[in-house]
Amino acid sequence: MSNPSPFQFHQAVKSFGPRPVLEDFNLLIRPGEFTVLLGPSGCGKSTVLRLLAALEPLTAGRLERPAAASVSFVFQEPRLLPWRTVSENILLPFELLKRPKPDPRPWLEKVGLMDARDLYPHQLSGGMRMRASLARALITRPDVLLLDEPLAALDEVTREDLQDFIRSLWREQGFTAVFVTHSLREAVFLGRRLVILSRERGRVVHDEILPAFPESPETRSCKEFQETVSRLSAHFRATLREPS
Amino acid sequence: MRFWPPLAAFLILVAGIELIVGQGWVSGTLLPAPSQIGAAMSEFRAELWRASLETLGASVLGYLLAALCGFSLAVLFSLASLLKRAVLPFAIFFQTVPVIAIAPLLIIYLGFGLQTVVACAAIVAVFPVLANTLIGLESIDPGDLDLFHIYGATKMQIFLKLRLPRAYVAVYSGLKVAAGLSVIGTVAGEFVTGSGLGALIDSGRTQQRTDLVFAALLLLSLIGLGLIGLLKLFNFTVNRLRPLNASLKD
Repeated sequence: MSNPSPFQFHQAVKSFGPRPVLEDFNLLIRPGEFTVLLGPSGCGKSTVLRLLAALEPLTAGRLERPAAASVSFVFQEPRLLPWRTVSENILLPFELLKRPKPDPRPWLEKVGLMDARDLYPHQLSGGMRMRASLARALITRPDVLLLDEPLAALDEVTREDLQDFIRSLWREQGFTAVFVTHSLREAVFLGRRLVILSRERGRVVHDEILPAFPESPETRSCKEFQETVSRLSAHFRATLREPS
Repeated sequence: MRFWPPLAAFLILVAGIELIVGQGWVSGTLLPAPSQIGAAMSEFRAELWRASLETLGASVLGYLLAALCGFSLAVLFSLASLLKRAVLPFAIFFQTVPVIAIAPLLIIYLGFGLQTVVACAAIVAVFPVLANTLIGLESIDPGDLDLFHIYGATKMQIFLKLRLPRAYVAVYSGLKVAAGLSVIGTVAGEFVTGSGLGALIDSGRTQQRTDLVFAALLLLSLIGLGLIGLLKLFNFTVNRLRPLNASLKD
């Protein structure tokens, strides 16, 4: 499923008005990798995702992208259309892409929304809405999945439940994932690679391949996981202390 | 249960007016007692019935014309920004001119018939439909647009699958305002053309028959309420089929 070519930023610059959000930004995203972007608010993490999704043009520099890579995006809010049922929301990409609609049931089963397929978004909980949003992003079997703090608004239990779910989906589907978060624990649990951006102008201040923790609920409390989080929090704190 | 407070207020008002007029504290020729209005309704029932049907017909036709024109223009403006910038200022200017001032011109152009009354109703009611529909079509959350752009949606797909359903709440609110305004426009037209309840009110004025004027006013408000009621029924039915009014805020 994964496209063999990587995404690569070369000395990329992105400005909104006179303010550069990213400057001299270089990053290689390898196919099939689960990269987590971490950094303080306003550091340009979401801008990187929007550039990858071609929702924004670069101001200067270059972004190499695989020619035929299909991209899906999971937003911070589920972005479900309130007048469509769960099934209809999940199938929306096929209508827009003018492709024949598949049977949504396997995906509804996978995200645990089979019984809610005919419900409308206002009848779902926050976690169920996010599951529907994930199903909508994955049903087209994208090469690249971009996730912009999708779990930020959820409670702790639902958040951990969906972290497990995203991780198992990535293992099963093998897509390239770029996940933006503020949470270091979430980053270490989900990612295979962690990229920390500086507070100003989105420079990469830390880039490391993370250990592959076992897929189990105990992972979050195991010693190695805790140590990795503690070690990386020093790097993260350093970016927060940078003068703005 | 929710009908009790307005019903109680209405009954108290009716009883209060009956009392103050009955006791002679206020002259019945200035403020007719509810019993006088009832008697006038009985005395002029044939004229009031005929005039009500005329006013109702003109209001409905004017309202439908306003809804159709307002909605179509808003769709056109939302798709063609140059056209919007060229025409919308004139529409706003036109809206500030009182319909009673335009009505004599309409008589010259359209004659003394129903068409002039319908035109008056439509002119008064068109602007809220146009303005609200335009606001609804243009007030799209950029995040929703991003979702559609990710999948390469065309302008028409964005319009049909996102802008139009999202605009429903604003369109409905414009249609609700227009329902009341169409009755106002109809009466203004009827004052000039001499038809419907507007003409009966004018006739009551010249004869100093305030009871007849109040009887006609009562029927006018019933027509307005009826139109708004029908619209609420329409909204209820639409939302039973699709929750277009639903909010996703927790």
